[in-house]
Amino acid sequence: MSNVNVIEVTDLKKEYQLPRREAKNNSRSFEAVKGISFQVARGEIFGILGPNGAGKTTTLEIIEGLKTQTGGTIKVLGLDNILDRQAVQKKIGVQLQSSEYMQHMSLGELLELFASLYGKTVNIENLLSLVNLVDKQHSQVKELSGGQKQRFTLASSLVNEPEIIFLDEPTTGLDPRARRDVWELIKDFNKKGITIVMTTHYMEEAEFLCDRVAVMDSGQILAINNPKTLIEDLSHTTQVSFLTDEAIDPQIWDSISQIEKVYNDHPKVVLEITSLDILGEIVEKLKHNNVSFSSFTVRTASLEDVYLDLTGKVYQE
Amino acid sequence: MTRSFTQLFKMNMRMIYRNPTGLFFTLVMPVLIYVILSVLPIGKIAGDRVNYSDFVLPGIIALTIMQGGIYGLAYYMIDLKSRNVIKRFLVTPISQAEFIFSLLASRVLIAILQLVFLSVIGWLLFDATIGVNIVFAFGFAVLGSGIFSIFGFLISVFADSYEAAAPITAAVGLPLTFLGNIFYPIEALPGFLQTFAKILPITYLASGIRSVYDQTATWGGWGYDAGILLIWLLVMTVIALKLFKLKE
Repeated sequence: MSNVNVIEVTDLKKEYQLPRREAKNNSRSFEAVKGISFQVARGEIFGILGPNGAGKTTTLEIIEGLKTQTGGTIKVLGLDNILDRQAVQKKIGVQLQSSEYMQHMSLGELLELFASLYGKTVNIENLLSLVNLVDKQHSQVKELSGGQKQRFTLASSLVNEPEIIFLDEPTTGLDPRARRDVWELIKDFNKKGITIVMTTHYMEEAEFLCDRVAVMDSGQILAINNPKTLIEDLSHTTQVSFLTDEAIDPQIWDSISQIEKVYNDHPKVVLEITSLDILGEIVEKLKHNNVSFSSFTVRTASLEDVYLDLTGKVYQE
Repeated sequence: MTRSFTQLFKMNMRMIYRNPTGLFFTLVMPVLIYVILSVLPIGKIAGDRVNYSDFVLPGIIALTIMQGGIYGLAYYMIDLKSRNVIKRFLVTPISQAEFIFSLLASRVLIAILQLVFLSVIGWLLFDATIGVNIVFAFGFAVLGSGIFSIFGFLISVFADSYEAAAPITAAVGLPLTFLGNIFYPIEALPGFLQTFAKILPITYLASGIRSVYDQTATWGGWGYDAGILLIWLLVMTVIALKLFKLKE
Protein backbone atom coordinates (compact mmCIF):
# COMPACT_ATOMS: atom_id res chain seq x y z
CA MET A 1 0.00 0.00 0.00
CA SER A 2 1.34 3.47 -0.86
CA ASN A 3 0.44 6.89 0.44
CA VAL A 4 -0.81 8.03 -2.94
CA ASN A 5 -4.57 8.50 -2.96
CA VAL A 6 -6.27 6.94 -5.98
CA ILE A 7 -9.76 8.02 -4.90
CA GLU A 8 -10.70 11.28 -3.24
CA VAL A 9 -14.32 11.82 -2.31
CA THR A 10 -15.19 15.23 -0.90
CA ASP A 11 -18.53 16.24 0.64
CA LEU A 12 -20.47 13.80 -1.57
CA LYS A 13 -24.24 14.22 -1.56
CA LYS A 14 -26.99 12.38 -3.36
CA GLU A 15 -30.61 13.39 -3.17
CA TYR A 16 -33.50 11.60 -4.89
CA GLN A 17 -36.82 13.12 -5.81
CA LEU A 18 -39.60 10.87 -4.55
CA PRO A 19 -42.92 10.30 -6.31
CA ARG A 20 -45.78 12.12 -4.56
CA ARG A 21 -47.17 8.89 -3.05
CA GLU A 22 -43.81 8.13 -1.38
CA ALA A 23 -43.34 11.60 0.14
CA LYS A 24 -42.30 11.47 3.80
CA ASN A 25 -42.99 14.25 6.32
CA ASN A 26 -44.20 16.51 3.50
CA SER A 27 -40.81 16.22 1.84
CA ARG A 28 -40.56 14.82 -1.66
CA SER A 29 -36.82 14.43 -1.56
CA PHE A 30 -34.71 11.77 0.10
CA GLU A 31 -31.04 12.27 0.91
CA ALA A 32 -29.33 8.89 0.41
CA VAL A 33 -25.79 10.24 0.91
CA LYS A 34 -25.29 13.22 3.22
CA GLY A 35 -21.98 14.93 2.50
CA ILE A 36 -19.42 12.18 3.02
CA SER A 37 -15.66 12.45 2.47
CA PHE A 38 -12.96 9.81 2.30
CA GLN A 39 -9.77 8.85 0.47
CA VAL A 40 -8.53 5.49 -0.75
CA ALA A 41 -4.78 4.86 -1.01
CA ARG A 42 -3.20 2.92 -3.87
CA GLY A 43 -2.99 -0.80 -3.09
CA GLU A 44 -5.36 -0.89 -0.14
CA ILE A 45 -8.56 -2.84 0.40
CA PHE A 46 -11.04 -0.22 1.49
CA GLY A 47 -14.38 -1.35 2.85
CA ILE A 48 -17.64 0.53 3.16
CA LEU A 49 -19.59 -1.20 5.87
CA GLY A 50 -23.19 -0.68 6.84
CA PRO A 51 -26.67 -2.15 6.87
CA ASN A 52 -29.05 -2.11 3.88
CA GLY A 53 -30.07 1.45 3.08
CA ALA A 54 -26.91 2.99 4.56
CA GLY A 55 -25.94 4.55 1.20
CA LYS A 56 -23.06 2.17 0.34
CA THR A 57 -24.22 1.12 -3.12
CA THR A 58 -25.28 4.66 -4.03
CA THR A 59 -21.78 5.90 -3.12
CA LEU A 60 -20.15 3.18 -5.19
CA GLU A 61 -22.47 3.71 -8.18
CA ILE A 62 -21.69 7.43 -8.24
CA ILE A 63 -17.94 6.71 -8.33
CA GLU A 64 -18.49 4.08 -11.06
CA GLY A 65 -20.40 6.54 -13.27
CA LEU A 66 -23.82 4.90 -12.95
CA LYS A 67 -25.28 7.80 -11.01
CA THR A 68 -24.51 11.50 -10.73
CA GLN A 69 -24.05 13.20 -7.39
CA THR A 70 -26.14 16.20 -6.35
CA GLY A 71 -23.19 17.70 -4.49
CA GLY A 72 -19.48 17.27 -3.82
CA THR A 73 -16.57 16.09 -5.94
CA ILE A 74 -14.93 12.78 -6.74
CA LYS A 75 -11.47 12.25 -8.19
CA VAL A 76 -10.51 8.78 -9.39
CA LEU A 77 -6.84 8.47 -10.36
CA GLY A 78 -6.85 12.25 -10.61
CA LEU A 79 -9.84 12.29 -13.00
CA ASP A 80 -13.21 13.90 -12.33
CA ASN A 81 -16.02 11.33 -12.15
CA ILE A 82 -18.43 13.50 -14.21
CA LEU A 83 -16.20 15.38 -16.65
CA ASP A 84 -13.91 12.40 -17.36
CA ARG A 85 -16.47 9.62 -16.92
CA GLN A 86 -15.29 7.50 -19.85
CA ALA A 87 -11.62 7.86 -18.93
CA VAL A 88 -12.41 6.79 -15.36
CA GLN A 89 -14.45 3.82 -16.57
CA LYS A 90 -11.55 2.64 -18.75
CA LYS A 91 -9.32 2.36 -15.68
CA ILE A 92 -11.69 0.72 -13.21
CA GLY A 93 -13.23 -2.71 -12.94
CA VAL A 94 -16.72 -3.12 -11.55
CA GLN A 95 -18.46 -6.07 -9.97
CA LEU A 96 -22.11 -5.26 -9.46
CA GLN A 97 -24.36 -6.56 -6.71
CA SER A 98 -26.39 -8.58 -9.21
CA SER A 99 -24.66 -11.47 -10.98
CA GLU A 100 -27.11 -11.51 -13.92
CA TYR A 101 -25.80 -11.55 -17.48
CA MET A 102 -27.04 -11.86 -21.02
CA GLN A 103 -28.79 -15.15 -21.56
CA HIS A 104 -27.78 -17.53 -24.36
CA MET A 105 -24.07 -16.58 -24.15
CA SER A 106 -21.20 -18.64 -22.80
CA LEU A 107 -18.74 -17.37 -20.19
CA GLY A 108 -16.05 -17.11 -22.86
CA GLU A 109 -18.29 -15.08 -25.17
CA LEU A 110 -19.28 -12.77 -22.32
CA LEU A 111 -15.66 -12.07 -21.38
CA GLU A 112 -14.79 -11.43 -25.03
CA LEU A 113 -17.74 -9.04 -25.29
CA PHE A 114 -16.91 -7.10 -22.14
CA ALA A 115 -13.22 -6.85 -23.04
CA SER A 116 -14.19 -5.40 -26.45
CA LEU A 117 -16.24 -2.69 -24.72
CA TYR A 118 -12.94 -1.45 -23.24
CA GLY A 119 -11.17 -1.80 -26.59
CA LYS A 120 -9.21 -4.79 -25.27
CA THR A 121 -8.71 -8.41 -26.20
CA VAL A 122 -8.55 -10.95 -23.45
CA ASN A 123 -7.00 -14.38 -22.90
CA ILE A 124 -10.18 -16.12 -21.79
CA GLU A 125 -8.48 -19.24 -20.42
CA ASN A 126 -6.04 -17.21 -18.30
CA LEU A 127 -8.80 -15.08 -16.89
CA LEU A 128 -11.07 -18.02 -16.09
CA SER A 129 -8.17 -19.94 -14.54
CA LEU A 130 -7.73 -17.08 -12.02
CA VAL A 131 -11.19 -17.89 -10.68
CA ASN A 132 -11.02 -21.67 -11.22
CA LEU A 133 -13.64 -21.74 -13.97
CA VAL A 134 -11.64 -22.84 -17.04
CA ASP A 135 -13.80 -25.93 -17.49
CA LYS A 136 -16.91 -23.71 -17.60
CA GLN A 137 -15.73 -21.61 -20.55
CA HIS A 138 -18.52 -22.91 -22.81
CA SER A 139 -21.21 -22.97 -20.12
CA GLN A 140 -23.83 -20.30 -19.66
CA VAL A 141 -24.15 -18.27 -16.45
CA LYS A 142 -27.48 -19.94 -15.59
CA GLU A 143 -25.61 -23.27 -15.32
CA LEU A 144 -23.31 -21.95 -12.55
CA SER A 145 -23.75 -22.23 -8.78
CA GLY A 146 -24.01 -19.07 -6.67
CA GLY A 147 -20.31 -19.19 -5.75
CA GLN A 148 -19.25 -19.83 -9.35
CA LYS A 149 -21.38 -16.89 -10.52
CA GLN A 150 -19.68 -14.57 -8.05
CA ARG A 151 -16.25 -15.84 -9.12
CA PHE A 152 -17.21 -15.22 -12.73
CA THR A 153 -18.32 -11.67 -11.94
CA LEU A 154 -14.91 -11.12 -10.36
CA ALA A 155 -13.24 -12.40 -13.53
CA SER A 156 -15.42 -10.11 -15.65
CA SER A 157 -14.33 -7.12 -13.54
CA LEU A 158 -10.72 -7.79 -14.63
CA VAL A 159 -11.20 -7.80 -18.44
CA ASN A 160 -9.70 -4.32 -18.80
CA GLU A 161 -6.75 -4.90 -16.45
CA PRO A 162 -8.04 -2.23 -14.04
CA GLU A 163 -6.04 -0.31 -11.47
CA ILE A 164 -8.99 -0.23 -9.07
CA ILE A 165 -11.85 -2.68 -8.75
CA PHE A 166 -15.15 -1.96 -7.07
CA LEU A 167 -16.95 -4.87 -5.47
CA ASP A 168 -20.52 -4.37 -4.34
CA GLU A 169 -21.36 -6.92 -1.65
CA PRO A 170 -19.29 -9.63 -3.34
CA THR A 171 -20.35 -12.48 -1.06
CA THR A 172 -23.99 -11.75 -0.33
CA GLY A 173 -26.07 -14.90 -0.53
CA LEU A 174 -23.09 -17.26 -0.62
CA ASP A 175 -22.55 -20.20 1.73
CA PRO A 176 -19.57 -19.93 4.12
CA ARG A 177 -17.25 -22.01 1.95
CA ALA A 178 -17.99 -20.07 -1.24
CA ARG A 179 -17.58 -16.87 0.75
CA ARG A 180 -14.10 -17.95 1.88
CA ASP A 181 -13.18 -18.77 -1.75
CA VAL A 182 -14.19 -15.27 -2.86
CA TRP A 183 -12.23 -13.72 0.03
CA GLU A 184 -9.11 -15.58 -1.06
CA LEU A 185 -9.58 -14.33 -4.63
CA ILE A 186 -9.96 -10.75 -3.44
CA LYS A 187 -6.75 -11.08 -1.40
CA ASP A 188 -4.99 -12.55 -4.47
CA PHE A 189 -6.12 -9.66 -6.70
CA ASN A 190 -4.93 -7.18 -4.10
CA LYS A 191 -1.52 -8.89 -3.91
CA LYS A 192 -1.20 -8.26 -7.66
CA GLY A 193 -1.33 -4.53 -6.88
CA ILE A 194 -5.01 -3.82 -7.58
CA THR A 195 -6.68 -1.36 -5.23
CA ILE A 196 -10.01 -2.71 -4.02
CA VAL A 197 -13.02 -0.76 -2.86
CA MET A 198 -15.81 -2.93 -1.58
CA THR A 199 -19.12 -2.63 0.19
CA THR A 200 -20.28 -5.25 2.60
CA HIS A 201 -22.79 -5.72 5.34
CA TYR A 202 -20.85 -8.61 6.80
CA MET A 203 -18.73 -7.47 9.76
CA GLU A 204 -16.58 -10.60 9.60
CA GLU A 205 -15.80 -9.94 5.93
CA ALA A 206 -14.73 -6.36 6.63
CA GLU A 207 -12.51 -7.47 9.53
CA PHE A 208 -10.89 -10.23 7.48
CA LEU A 209 -10.33 -8.36 4.23
CA CYS A 210 -10.13 -4.63 4.72
CA ASP A 211 -7.11 -2.50 5.50
CA ARG A 212 -9.48 0.32 6.38
CA VAL A 213 -13.21 0.48 6.87
CA ALA A 214 -15.71 3.33 6.63
CA VAL A 215 -18.69 2.59 8.85
CA MET A 216 -21.80 4.04 7.18
CA ASP A 217 -25.30 4.52 8.46
CA SER A 218 -28.21 6.59 7.11
CA GLY A 219 -26.08 8.22 4.41
CA GLN A 220 -23.27 9.30 6.73
CA ILE A 221 -19.82 7.98 7.53
CA LEU A 222 -19.58 7.49 11.28
CA ALA A 223 -15.94 6.39 11.49
CA ILE A 224 -13.02 5.46 9.24
CA ASN A 225 -10.01 3.50 10.35
CA ASN A 226 -8.52 0.06 10.21
CA PRO A 227 -10.79 -2.51 11.84
CA LYS A 228 -8.34 -3.31 14.64
CA THR A 229 -8.01 0.32 15.70
CA LEU A 230 -11.76 0.87 15.55
CA ILE A 231 -12.22 -2.07 17.91
CA GLU A 232 -9.38 -1.07 20.23
CA ASP A 233 -10.80 2.45 20.50
CA LEU A 234 -13.92 1.08 22.12
CA SER A 235 -14.17 1.74 25.84
CA HIS A 236 -15.15 -1.86 26.46
CA THR A 237 -13.81 -5.08 25.00
CA THR A 238 -16.38 -7.64 26.09
CA GLN A 239 -20.03 -8.05 25.39
CA VAL A 240 -22.71 -10.26 26.90
CA SER A 241 -25.87 -10.92 24.96
CA PHE A 242 -28.93 -13.05 25.51
CA LEU A 243 -32.56 -13.38 24.48
CA THR A 244 -35.42 -12.91 26.92
CA ASP A 245 -39.01 -14.10 26.66
CA GLU A 246 -40.33 -10.79 27.93
CA ALA A 247 -38.94 -7.27 27.77
CA ILE A 248 -37.06 -6.36 30.95
CA ASP A 249 -36.58 -3.08 32.78
CA PRO A 250 -33.02 -1.84 32.03
CA GLN A 251 -32.83 -0.34 35.50
CA ILE A 252 -32.19 -3.77 37.00
CA TRP A 253 -28.57 -3.38 35.82
CA ASP A 254 -28.00 -0.07 37.60
CA SER A 255 -26.45 -1.73 40.64
CA ILE A 256 -23.65 -3.42 38.63
CA SER A 257 -21.05 -0.74 38.01
CA GLN A 258 -18.94 -2.78 35.55
CA ILE A 259 -21.81 -2.66 33.02
CA GLU A 260 -20.99 0.26 30.74
CA LYS A 261 -23.95 0.21 28.39
CA VAL A 262 -27.23 -1.61 28.00
CA TYR A 263 -28.98 -2.15 24.67
CA ASN A 264 -32.52 -3.38 25.00
CA ASP A 265 -33.87 -4.49 21.63
CA HIS A 266 -36.40 -7.10 22.68
CA PRO A 267 -35.95 -10.05 22.55
CA LYS A 268 -32.21 -9.30 22.44
CA VAL A 269 -30.34 -7.68 25.32
CA VAL A 270 -26.72 -6.63 24.90
CA LEU A 271 -24.56 -5.60 27.85
CA GLU A 272 -21.13 -4.03 27.41
CA ILE A 273 -18.98 -4.96 30.36
CA THR A 274 -15.52 -4.04 31.55
CA SER A 275 -14.83 -7.16 33.60
CA LEU A 276 -15.58 -10.86 33.18
CA ASP A 277 -15.91 -11.18 36.96
CA ILE A 278 -19.49 -9.97 36.87
CA LEU A 279 -20.86 -12.78 34.67
CA GLY A 280 -22.22 -14.68 37.69
CA GLU A 281 -23.78 -11.49 39.02
CA ILE A 282 -25.60 -10.94 35.70
CA VAL A 283 -27.06 -14.46 35.71
CA GLU A 284 -28.09 -14.06 39.35
CA LYS A 285 -29.80 -10.77 38.54
CA LEU A 286 -31.81 -12.42 35.76
CA LYS A 287 -32.86 -15.29 38.02
CA HIS A 288 -33.69 -12.93 40.87
CA ASN A 289 -36.03 -10.99 38.56
CA ASN A 290 -37.60 -14.22 37.23
CA VAL A 291 -36.41 -13.48 33.70
CA SER A 292 -36.45 -16.50 31.43
CA PHE A 293 -33.46 -16.19 29.08
CA SER A 294 -31.64 -18.17 26.37
CA SER A 295 -28.68 -17.95 23.94
CA PHE A 296 -26.43 -16.46 26.62
CA THR A 297 -23.23 -15.49 24.81
CA VAL A 298 -20.01 -13.81 25.91
CA ARG A 299 -17.64 -12.49 23.27
CA THR A 300 -14.85 -10.04 22.78
CA ALA A 301 -15.48 -6.86 20.82
CA SER A 302 -15.75 -6.81 17.03
CA LEU A 303 -16.81 -4.32 14.37
CA GLU A 304 -20.37 -5.12 15.34
CA ASP A 305 -19.66 -3.45 18.68
CA VAL A 306 -18.11 -0.49 16.91
CA TYR A 307 -21.36 -0.08 14.96
CA LEU A 308 -23.39 -0.44 18.14
CA ASP A 309 -21.20 2.12 19.86
CA LEU A 310 -21.48 4.59 16.98
CA THR A 311 -25.19 4.27 16.26
CA GLY A 312 -26.76 2.93 19.42
CA LYS A 313 -28.44 0.28 17.26
CA VAL A 314 -27.84 -3.47 17.21
CA TYR A 315 -26.39 -4.32 13.81
CA GLN A 316 -28.82 -6.23 11.57
CA GLU A 317 -27.23 -7.99 8.61
CA MET B 1 -17.27 0.69 -37.15
CA THR B 2 -15.73 0.07 -33.73
CA ARG B 3 -14.99 -3.39 -32.38
CA SER B 4 -17.26 -2.76 -29.40
CA PHE B 5 -20.15 -1.88 -31.75
CA THR B 6 -19.54 -5.08 -33.73
CA GLN B 7 -19.48 -7.15 -30.54
CA LEU B 8 -22.66 -5.51 -29.26
CA PHE B 9 -24.34 -6.13 -32.63
CA LYS B 10 -23.24 -9.79 -32.53
CA MET B 11 -24.57 -10.09 -28.99
CA ASN B 12 -27.97 -8.72 -30.01
CA MET B 13 -28.17 -11.13 -32.94
CA ARG B 14 -27.24 -14.07 -30.66
CA MET B 15 -30.01 -13.06 -28.28
CA ILE B 16 -32.46 -13.41 -31.16
CA TYR B 17 -31.29 -16.51 -33.00
CA ARG B 18 -30.34 -18.49 -29.89
CA ASN B 19 -33.69 -17.91 -28.24
CA PRO B 20 -36.18 -20.57 -29.43
CA THR B 21 -39.24 -18.64 -28.20
CA GLY B 22 -38.08 -15.44 -29.85
CA LEU B 23 -37.28 -17.29 -33.04
CA PHE B 24 -40.79 -18.75 -33.11
CA PHE B 25 -42.38 -15.30 -32.87
CA THR B 26 -39.84 -13.77 -35.25
CA LEU B 27 -40.05 -16.27 -38.09
CA VAL B 28 -42.41 -19.21 -37.56
CA MET B 29 -45.56 -17.43 -36.39
CA PRO B 30 -45.64 -14.82 -39.19
CA VAL B 31 -45.28 -17.62 -41.74
CA LEU B 32 -48.08 -19.62 -40.09
CA ILE B 33 -50.41 -16.59 -40.10
CA TYR B 34 -49.55 -15.86 -43.72
CA VAL B 35 -50.06 -19.47 -44.84
CA ILE B 36 -53.37 -19.83 -42.97
CA LEU B 37 -54.74 -16.57 -44.41
CA SER B 38 -53.54 -17.47 -47.91
CA VAL B 39 -55.32 -20.82 -48.00
CA LEU B 40 -58.62 -19.34 -46.82
CA PRO B 41 -61.13 -19.10 -49.69
CA ILE B 42 -61.24 -15.29 -49.66
CA GLY B 43 -60.59 -14.85 -53.36
CA LYS B 44 -59.85 -11.44 -54.79
CA ILE B 45 -59.69 -8.13 -52.95
CA ALA B 46 -59.09 -4.46 -53.72
CA GLY B 47 -61.69 -4.11 -56.44
CA ASP B 48 -61.37 -7.72 -57.54
CA ARG B 49 -57.91 -6.94 -58.80
CA VAL B 50 -55.53 -8.62 -56.32
CA ASN B 51 -55.38 -12.17 -54.86
CA TYR B 52 -55.88 -12.06 -51.09
CA SER B 53 -52.60 -13.95 -50.73
CA ASP B 54 -50.81 -11.17 -52.62
CA PHE B 55 -52.62 -8.51 -50.59
CA VAL B 56 -51.88 -9.97 -47.20
CA LEU B 57 -48.17 -10.79 -47.75
CA PRO B 58 -46.93 -7.16 -47.45
CA GLY B 59 -49.37 -6.69 -44.57
CA ILE B 60 -47.88 -9.62 -42.67
CA ILE B 61 -44.38 -8.32 -43.39
CA ALA B 62 -45.36 -4.91 -41.96
CA LEU B 63 -47.01 -6.59 -38.96
CA THR B 64 -43.88 -8.66 -38.29
CA ILE B 65 -41.64 -5.59 -38.45
CA MET B 66 -44.00 -3.73 -36.10
CA GLN B 67 -44.00 -6.62 -33.59
CA GLY B 68 -40.19 -6.79 -33.65
CA GLY B 69 -40.05 -3.27 -32.23
CA ILE B 70 -43.12 -2.99 -30.04
CA TYR B 71 -42.93 -6.44 -28.51
CA GLY B 72 -39.44 -7.79 -29.31
CA LEU B 73 -37.31 -4.78 -28.49
CA ALA B 74 -39.50 -3.46 -25.66
CA TYR B 75 -39.44 -6.77 -23.79
CA TYR B 76 -35.72 -7.21 -24.49
CA MET B 77 -34.99 -3.80 -22.92
CA ILE B 78 -37.30 -4.51 -19.98
CA ASP B 79 -35.51 -7.82 -19.40
CA LEU B 80 -32.11 -6.08 -19.39
CA LYS B 81 -33.35 -3.40 -17.01
CA SER B 82 -35.33 -5.60 -14.64
CA ARG B 83 -32.40 -8.00 -14.18
CA ASN B 84 -29.95 -5.08 -13.85
CA VAL B 85 -27.94 -6.40 -16.82
CA ILE B 86 -28.07 -2.93 -18.38
CA LYS B 87 -25.77 -1.69 -15.59
CA ARG B 88 -23.03 -4.03 -16.80
CA PHE B 89 -22.87 -1.99 -20.00
CA LEU B 90 -23.24 1.38 -18.30
CA VAL B 91 -20.14 0.85 -16.15
CA THR B 92 -18.03 0.37 -19.29
CA PRO B 93 -16.69 3.28 -21.38
CA ILE B 94 -19.07 2.68 -24.32
CA SER B 95 -21.47 5.50 -25.14
CA GLN B 96 -25.21 5.09 -24.76
CA ALA B 97 -25.56 5.90 -28.47
CA GLU B 98 -23.30 2.97 -29.36
CA PHE B 99 -25.46 0.63 -27.30
CA ILE B 100 -28.72 1.95 -28.77
CA PHE B 101 -27.51 1.98 -32.39
CA SER B 102 -26.22 -1.59 -32.09
CA LEU B 103 -29.72 -2.62 -31.04
CA LEU B 104 -31.31 -0.63 -33.87
CA ALA B 105 -28.90 -2.13 -36.41
CA SER B 106 -29.69 -5.68 -35.32
CA ARG B 107 -33.44 -5.00 -35.45
CA VAL B 108 -33.13 -3.53 -38.96
CA LEU B 109 -31.19 -6.57 -40.16
CA ILE B 110 -33.80 -8.89 -38.65
CA ALA B 111 -36.57 -6.88 -40.35
CA ILE B 112 -34.87 -7.30 -43.74
CA LEU B 113 -34.36 -11.03 -43.14
CA GLN B 114 -38.02 -11.38 -42.15
CA LEU B 115 -39.06 -9.58 -45.33
CA VAL B 116 -36.89 -11.86 -47.48
CA PHE B 117 -37.99 -15.02 -45.64
CA LEU B 118 -41.72 -14.25 -45.92
CA SER B 119 -41.37 -13.15 -49.54
CA VAL B 120 -39.59 -16.37 -50.49
CA ILE B 121 -42.30 -18.43 -48.74
CA GLY B 122 -44.97 -16.45 -50.61
CA TRP B 123 -43.19 -16.90 -53.91
CA LEU B 124 -42.62 -20.65 -53.38
CA LEU B 125 -46.02 -21.59 -51.94
CA PHE B 126 -48.46 -19.10 -53.38
CA ASP B 127 -46.73 -17.75 -56.44
CA ALA B 128 -46.79 -14.34 -54.80
CA THR B 129 -46.13 -11.35 -57.01
CA ILE B 130 -42.86 -9.78 -55.91
CA GLY B 131 -41.67 -6.87 -57.92
CA VAL B 132 -38.15 -6.61 -59.22
CA ASN B 133 -37.65 -3.50 -57.11
CA ILE B 134 -37.34 -5.47 -53.86
CA VAL B 135 -34.58 -3.08 -52.82
CA PHE B 136 -37.30 -0.43 -52.33
CA ALA B 137 -39.08 -2.88 -50.03
CA PHE B 138 -35.82 -3.09 -48.05
CA GLY B 139 -35.97 0.68 -47.70
CA PHE B 140 -39.47 0.45 -46.25
CA ALA B 141 -38.33 -2.31 -43.88
CA VAL B 142 -35.52 -0.05 -42.62
CA LEU B 143 -37.89 2.89 -42.07
CA GLY B 144 -40.54 0.71 -40.40
CA SER B 145 -38.04 -1.07 -38.21
CA GLY B 146 -36.56 2.26 -37.11
CA ILE B 147 -39.96 3.70 -36.17
CA PHE B 148 -41.21 0.65 -34.28
CA SER B 149 -37.88 0.07 -32.55
CA ILE B 150 -38.19 3.58 -31.12
CA PHE B 151 -41.73 2.65 -30.00
CA GLY B 152 -40.07 -0.30 -28.23
CA PHE B 153 -37.45 1.89 -26.53
CA LEU B 154 -40.16 4.30 -25.37
CA ILE B 155 -42.35 1.51 -23.96
CA SER B 156 -39.36 0.39 -21.89
CA VAL B 157 -39.20 3.93 -20.41
CA PHE B 158 -42.70 3.60 -18.98
CA ALA B 159 -42.58 -0.06 -17.96
CA ASP B 160 -40.02 -1.65 -15.68
CA SER B 161 -41.52 -5.14 -15.64
CA TYR B 162 -43.29 -7.53 -17.98
CA GLU B 163 -46.51 -6.99 -16.03
CA ALA B 164 -46.31 -3.23 -16.48
CA ALA B 165 -45.42 -3.58 -20.17
CA ALA B 166 -48.25 -5.94 -21.14
CA PRO B 167 -51.12 -3.38 -21.10
CA ILE B 168 -48.96 -0.77 -22.85
CA THR B 169 -47.88 -3.11 -25.66
CA ALA B 170 -51.49 -4.25 -26.05
CA ALA B 171 -52.80 -0.67 -26.17
CA VAL B 172 -50.24 0.26 -28.83
CA GLY B 173 -50.08 -3.01 -30.74
CA LEU B 174 -53.74 -3.90 -31.14
CA PRO B 175 -54.90 -0.78 -33.05
CA LEU B 176 -51.84 -1.05 -35.27
CA THR B 177 -52.62 -4.72 -35.94
CA PHE B 178 -56.33 -4.45 -36.71
CA LEU B 179 -56.63 -0.95 -38.17
CA GLY B 180 -53.29 -0.73 -39.94
CA ASN B 181 -53.97 -1.84 -43.52
CA ILE B 182 -52.68 -5.35 -42.80
CA PHE B 183 -55.53 -7.82 -43.23
CA TYR B 184 -57.91 -5.65 -45.27
CA PRO B 185 -57.78 -2.27 -47.03
CA ILE B 186 -58.51 0.67 -44.73
CA GLU B 187 -61.32 1.65 -47.13
CA ALA B 188 -63.27 -1.29 -45.60
CA LEU B 189 -63.30 0.50 -42.21
CA PRO B 190 -66.05 2.88 -41.04
CA GLY B 191 -65.28 6.54 -41.75
CA PHE B 192 -63.95 7.62 -38.33
CA LEU B 193 -61.70 4.57 -38.12
CA GLN B 194 -60.41 5.30 -41.60
CA THR B 195 -59.34 8.74 -40.38
CA PHE B 196 -57.54 7.12 -37.44
CA ALA B 197 -55.95 4.45 -39.66
CA LYS B 198 -54.57 7.16 -41.94
CA ILE B 199 -52.47 8.45 -39.03
CA LEU B 200 -50.88 5.10 -38.21
CA PRO B 201 -47.35 4.48 -39.50
CA ILE B 202 -48.05 0.82 -40.17
CA THR B 203 -50.68 1.83 -42.74
CA TYR B 204 -47.96 3.43 -44.83
CA LEU B 205 -45.45 0.66 -44.18
CA ALA B 206 -47.90 -1.98 -45.49
CA SER B 207 -48.97 0.29 -48.34
CA GLY B 208 -45.38 1.02 -49.35
CA ILE B 209 -44.30 -2.63 -49.46
CA ARG B 210 -47.57 -3.57 -51.17
CA SER B 211 -47.07 -1.01 -53.91
CA VAL B 212 -43.52 -2.26 -54.49
CA TYR B 213 -44.68 -5.88 -54.77
CA ASP B 214 -47.83 -5.06 -56.73
CA GLN B 215 -45.82 -2.92 -59.18
CA THR B 216 -48.82 -0.64 -59.58
CA ALA B 217 -47.60 2.30 -57.61
CA THR B 218 -45.92 5.24 -59.14
CA TRP B 219 -42.82 6.98 -57.83
CA GLY B 220 -45.22 9.47 -56.33
CA GLY B 221 -47.11 6.72 -54.51
CA TRP B 222 -43.97 5.23 -53.01
CA GLY B 223 -42.67 8.65 -52.24
CA TYR B 224 -45.86 9.57 -50.35
CA ASP B 225 -45.71 6.43 -48.17
CA ALA B 226 -41.97 6.83 -47.60
CA GLY B 227 -42.42 10.55 -46.82
CA ILE B 228 -45.05 9.88 -44.15
CA LEU B 229 -42.81 7.20 -42.63
CA LEU B 230 -39.86 9.61 -42.62
CA ILE B 231 -41.97 12.17 -40.75
CA TRP B 232 -42.93 9.47 -38.22
CA LEU B 233 -39.27 8.51 -37.83
CA LEU B 234 -38.31 12.13 -37.25
CA VAL B 235 -41.07 12.73 -34.70
CA MET B 236 -40.32 9.49 -32.84
CA THR B 237 -36.61 10.31 -32.77
CA VAL B 238 -37.30 13.74 -31.25
CA ILE B 239 -39.59 12.20 -28.61
CA ALA B 240 -37.05 9.47 -27.84
CA LEU B 241 -34.24 12.01 -27.44
CA LYS B 242 -36.43 13.84 -24.91
CA LEU B 243 -37.65 10.84 -22.92
CA PHE B 244 -35.32 7.90 -23.37
CA LYS B 245 -32.24 7.44 -21.24
CA LEU B 246 -30.51 4.33 -20.03
CA LYS B 247 -29.15 5.78 -16.79
CA GLU B 248 -31.03 6.68 -13.57
